Amino acid sequence: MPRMKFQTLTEQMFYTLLCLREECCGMDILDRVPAMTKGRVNVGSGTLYTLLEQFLDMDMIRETKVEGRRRSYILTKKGEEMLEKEYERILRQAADYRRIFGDGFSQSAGYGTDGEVRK
Amino acid sequence: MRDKKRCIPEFSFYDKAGIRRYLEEQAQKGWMLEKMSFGWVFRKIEPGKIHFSVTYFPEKSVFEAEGSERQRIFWDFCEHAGWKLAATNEQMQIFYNENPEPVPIETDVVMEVEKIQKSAKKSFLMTYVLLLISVLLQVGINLDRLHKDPLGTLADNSILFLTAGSALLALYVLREIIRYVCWYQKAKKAAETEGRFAAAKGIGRLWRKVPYFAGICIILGMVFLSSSQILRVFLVVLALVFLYVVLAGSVLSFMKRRGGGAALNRLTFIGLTVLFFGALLHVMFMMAAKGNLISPREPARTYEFNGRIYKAYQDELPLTVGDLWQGEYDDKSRNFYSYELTEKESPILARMEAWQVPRRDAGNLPGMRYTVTKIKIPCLYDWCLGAVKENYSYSREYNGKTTYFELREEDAAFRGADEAYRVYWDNEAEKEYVVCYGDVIVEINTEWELTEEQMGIVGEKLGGK
Repeated sequence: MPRMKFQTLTEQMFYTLLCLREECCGMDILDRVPAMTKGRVNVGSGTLYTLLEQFLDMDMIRETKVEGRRRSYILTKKGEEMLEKEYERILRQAADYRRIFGDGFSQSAGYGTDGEVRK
Repeated sequence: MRDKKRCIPEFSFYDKAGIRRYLEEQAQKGWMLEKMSFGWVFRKIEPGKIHFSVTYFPEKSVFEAEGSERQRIFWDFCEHAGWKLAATNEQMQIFYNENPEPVPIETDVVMEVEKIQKSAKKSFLMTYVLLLISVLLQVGINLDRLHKDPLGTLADNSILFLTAGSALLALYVLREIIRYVCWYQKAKKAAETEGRFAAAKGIGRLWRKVPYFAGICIILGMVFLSSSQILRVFLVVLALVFLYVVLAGSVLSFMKRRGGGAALNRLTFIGLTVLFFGALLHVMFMMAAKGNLISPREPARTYEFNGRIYKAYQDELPLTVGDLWQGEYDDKSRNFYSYELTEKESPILARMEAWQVPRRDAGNLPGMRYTVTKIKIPCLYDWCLGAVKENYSYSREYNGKTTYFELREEDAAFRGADEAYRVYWDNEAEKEYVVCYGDVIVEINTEWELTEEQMGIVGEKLGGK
């Protein structure tokens, strides 16, 4: 099924918006996403360029600073709402999962309820 | 040892994986892509394992200078991730990365496929569709000629080669467009449903050679055109189009260098194109109106009659009025006639058209014209004869009355003839015959009634009997 634009967010969209909770530029995002996810999620430079253009078009982020070619952005109200909606969707999914399987599977697989890997 | 090399890429625009693999192999051999224009240019490097990434930047306009602000922001992002720019060609951007496991430039396949689609629409698809229209137009014009004058067209090497070249090119371009559309549908589905990038297939070893074959055919067609008057027009148009490409390209690159915006550059380019072709059409129209565009063949002599200048030719004809009248209008009277012969020969047909027309100052003399067609491919004989017969079977409406032309089989005395037909116009016999001798078809029209003896001479001279 094709994904409706920004009806749901991909992991890359989600983490890019998450980074933009505070003002940062594209290159910061390229570094922060893998750091934030311990290398689990990477955003390619081409993908990030397009995502930022699309988020700007959709007013989900706004430009805050231009220093030469370095542009900084921050999340707008609309972007925050999108992020929140996505977070609630993920929570609902997690709740549905727990209702079916309980907490047993995720714990036996080494995952905590916060998604942190338990060693 | 040379430190640069150039090669012609044989990849589809969207064959990311194929291009990447090829560039990685070249790097292993010690060659790094440096430039993409009129072939790909490589520079010598230390051989090694280097990763390449072929990406597309759909925002790039052909009217915009390479390295716009937005493009440079994109390049900065890539450089930050370790991807250095190797070369660009409009929307296609090729990067390399020396890190052992770099993060790919594109990490969202849906987005990646859409970028290719947007870029293809702007460059590859637009160019190919325009090329397809122009070559199909050429093929269509020649097929129409084939329909109207089948034997004349099949005997013309230039038309045959130009049509074959255009048809091959049309086939190649059409196949590439269809291949792209199919790939795009498949790639879009694979990206949306499976989250994977469906790699494009290569063009295919034989198909890669098709544009070269087409080019050879078109060049051969032009070489054969050299025997015809049309060559002059063709070469003039070709030279002017070449001049336009150079002029428009230079102006565009000058405007890009000056840093003009895409909109201004586009407007200037369109204005220049309209001006150039407007002026070209005007000049050609004026030349055609004055009769300077296609100058007729130089006559052997000219003569004046009633204050007007007429042309006369002195070509050697295989059969003359003198041959048929046995001396009465023989070679001594050549100055009373214009003898004109045109010959065309292709691997399919050889065709000769002859006219012996009395000069206007020669008084009342009999004239004649004939066409001799030799069919070299036996299986085409029936079709050719059918085309000749069809040429003589038609009706004409004049002053509310319909008149009919037709061919009727005759037991005429043409020596050695397999079949002979006579032209009838409204049931009245004309002095015109179609005679078949083996693989030769003769169409002859005299201004007098041929005698049996003269029919025999026609058979000897034109039918080779």
